[in-house]
Amino acid sequence: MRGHRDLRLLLALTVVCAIGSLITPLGAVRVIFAVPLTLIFPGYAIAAAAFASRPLAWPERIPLTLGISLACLALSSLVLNYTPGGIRGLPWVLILVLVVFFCCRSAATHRGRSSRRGRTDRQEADPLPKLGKPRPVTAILAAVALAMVAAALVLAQATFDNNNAAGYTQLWVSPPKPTDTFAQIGVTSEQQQTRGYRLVVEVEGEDSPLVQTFELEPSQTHLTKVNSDSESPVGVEAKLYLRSNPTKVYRRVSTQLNPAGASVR
Amino acid sequence: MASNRVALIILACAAGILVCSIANALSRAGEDPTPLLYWVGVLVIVLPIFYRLTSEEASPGERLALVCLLGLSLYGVKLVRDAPIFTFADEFLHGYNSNQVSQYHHLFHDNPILETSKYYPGLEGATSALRTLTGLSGYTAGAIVIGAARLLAMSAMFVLFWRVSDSARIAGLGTAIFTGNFNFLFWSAQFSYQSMALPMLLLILLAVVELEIAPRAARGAWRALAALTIAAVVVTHHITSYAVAATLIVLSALTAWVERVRKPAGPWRLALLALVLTTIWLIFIASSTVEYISPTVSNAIESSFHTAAGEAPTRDLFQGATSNIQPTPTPARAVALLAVLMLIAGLPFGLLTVWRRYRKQPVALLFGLAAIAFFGALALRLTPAAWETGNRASEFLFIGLAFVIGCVGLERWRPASARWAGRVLAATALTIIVIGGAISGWPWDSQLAHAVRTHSEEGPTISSPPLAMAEWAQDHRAEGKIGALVATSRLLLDPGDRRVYSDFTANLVEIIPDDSLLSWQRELLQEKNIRFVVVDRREVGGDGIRGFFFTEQGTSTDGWLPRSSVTKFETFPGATRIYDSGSIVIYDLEPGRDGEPEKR
Repeated sequence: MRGHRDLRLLLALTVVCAIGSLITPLGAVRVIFAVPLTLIFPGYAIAAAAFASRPLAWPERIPLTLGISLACLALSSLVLNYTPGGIRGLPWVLILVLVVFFCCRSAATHRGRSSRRGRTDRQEADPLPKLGKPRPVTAILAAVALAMVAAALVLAQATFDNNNAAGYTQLWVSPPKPTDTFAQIGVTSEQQQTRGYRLVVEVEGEDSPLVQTFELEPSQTHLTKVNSDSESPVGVEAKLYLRSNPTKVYRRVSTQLNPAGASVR
Repeated sequence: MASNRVALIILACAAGILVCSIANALSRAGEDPTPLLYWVGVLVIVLPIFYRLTSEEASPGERLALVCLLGLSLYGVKLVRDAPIFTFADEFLHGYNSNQVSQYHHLFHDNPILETSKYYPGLEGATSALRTLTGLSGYTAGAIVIGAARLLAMSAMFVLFWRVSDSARIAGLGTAIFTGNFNFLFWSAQFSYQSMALPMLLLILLAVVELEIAPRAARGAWRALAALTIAAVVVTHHITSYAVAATLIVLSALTAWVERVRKPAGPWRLALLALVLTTIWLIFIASSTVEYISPTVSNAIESSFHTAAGEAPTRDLFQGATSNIQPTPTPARAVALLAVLMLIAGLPFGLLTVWRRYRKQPVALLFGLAAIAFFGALALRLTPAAWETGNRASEFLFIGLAFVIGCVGLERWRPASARWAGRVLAATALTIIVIGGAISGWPWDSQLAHAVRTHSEEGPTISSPPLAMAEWAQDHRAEGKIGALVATSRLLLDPGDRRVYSDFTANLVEIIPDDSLLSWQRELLQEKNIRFVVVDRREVGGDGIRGFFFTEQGTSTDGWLPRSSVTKFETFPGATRIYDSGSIVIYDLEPGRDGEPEKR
């Protein structure tokens, strides 16, 4: 690849990004390596190989690089799907590095032939428009713009107080498995403020229900476990009342306990 | 000077995104901000770009940079609306597919709601590269991939229009006009297969145009890259792959007509390839697509005939989906209708220019035909069962319309008394088209984000009822399939990671709201092996746009499903009620059942 600076640079960057995305411990930092490795380099390399004998004009290079990278990813995932390792990090890196390597090699070979036929890159390539050195004002404006976008994204991720959101409470019982001889009943508050509750659990065949009163802060959960000693399946019904409205059933759930005894803890 | 101008425009875009983010943040905080704030944000993004694009002086490079900036900035408007979790109905389906790839390291895992989506894994496959290499969430990796696709769409369209028109000005304006298509701001920006496939279609069109104008030595390269992209589209999205095949066939026919030849002409080899690959994929891999698409299309045709014959009422435009949802305000409707009127007004002038200057170019003729057909697709929006088909078609057809309207040349009108008039009018018209398109494309009340999570008055974070239910279902895993309405089913897919059936694969959206459980419904539940049924009583439970969020305090519950639609499941022998959050109730129809192993 001697004499093809862009291809050598591309290969070097591909190797750096491949290693970087494999060994960097922080996922957020790996993004810096993984984005060019997946969304830019394959497309650039394939386009370079395809247009080795007639270099591309710069406007076409941008959509081709992005589009062929996306197409390459979509089709490579099909290839990886049928390899023993499946779709994992290392196979992805290997396939992308191989694509870039072979395309760069092919581009270098064909460019060499074209040069021998009298066509050189310099003669035919439509170079990217030169960007002048940015003035200090331009740099400041760009930095402010970047800060604004960052602020917009941070704001978009933030959770706010919303006193208009209607709070509620969940009453639930864990879905029983065939081997379960107990049931777990939970009350989770998704209310705006602390609320007081009364939970009444009635087990079929038991004389007196279990009654619990408690308060829950927002996002807190109250758990109760119900066991069964009975030799036949028994029904369990839990009713939740708000302390502020003690006569009206607020939530209701039910379940069936498998045989093994029934007692309430 | 030029770099300062571009930097100022970048600054305006950043400011616009920040203003939109503030408007969304206020909305999530329940402050009910004026929609004007949000639209001012959009205006700050688009107006400076449009004004600059109307100038004669801007270089092709600057124009390309501007349209890319426009596409990315409007994508930023969508990103700052996200929660940040998926909040668009289709995103949950593809988010689930993407999670399955990450979890099991293979493609083609079942998607219980939309079976067809698993046979088009291009988007999830591409996203898996980023996910496996970085450990990013499906949302973040998906946002990056769709961002890249958006950049591809804008750059490919600009170069395509440039090569066809030989005018960077028309290319810039045409590409900017494309952002005025109804779906651009939100629907096409979601993590969904069409969002990646449509930009690739533009790349294929670009390759076809280059095939005609490139030196002979470069044609093979363009053909090879077009073939590669066609293959990628075929594995990514069904409708786009059909659109690619249809477009290439029409282009071949137009080329034969323009060149007055009676043999295959133009991109016929690529057309054949697209047709063969699409057919092979449809028959051998994705045959269920026929079952998925054909009812929608046949209903659309039938419904259109009924409406046209006056046997069925037309669809009300700009109306709220339920009684609690306010219709679009009159000024906003006026802007949306004005945008359509402007497109209609520009059409004859644009077509005239296309005919005069570009009638020897088959692609330009294709754009002209698409522009005319767009208004036919627009008429489908008036038909209840056909509006979705019209909406889908309109996005493809808008590519042609954008080119034709870009050829109008209003910006070049310079009356002696006000030489700036043409540019100002053109930039204003473009702005109205973009804002009007955004109003038409997404419900007025949902332009801004609503809260899925919020800090309670005492501090800790609480989740919306459907999200909390999905998180509960994720924590309390029990074997068995779940049946749910649209909103809860999507959240049960992602983040719930549960096998849930809803609108496409079972009649649950008809069974759940009913007052009583009929025998056929009981049989269907048993036949489909549905163990858990989630009854969402909220009026928005069946709404794939509004159903994911908190209800506001004091919202009327008049439109809720009747209590009997919940309690009817207690007539199911042995059914137990295992979850109750007031608006959402879950029944276990077969408690203690082992449940069949989850098929993946």
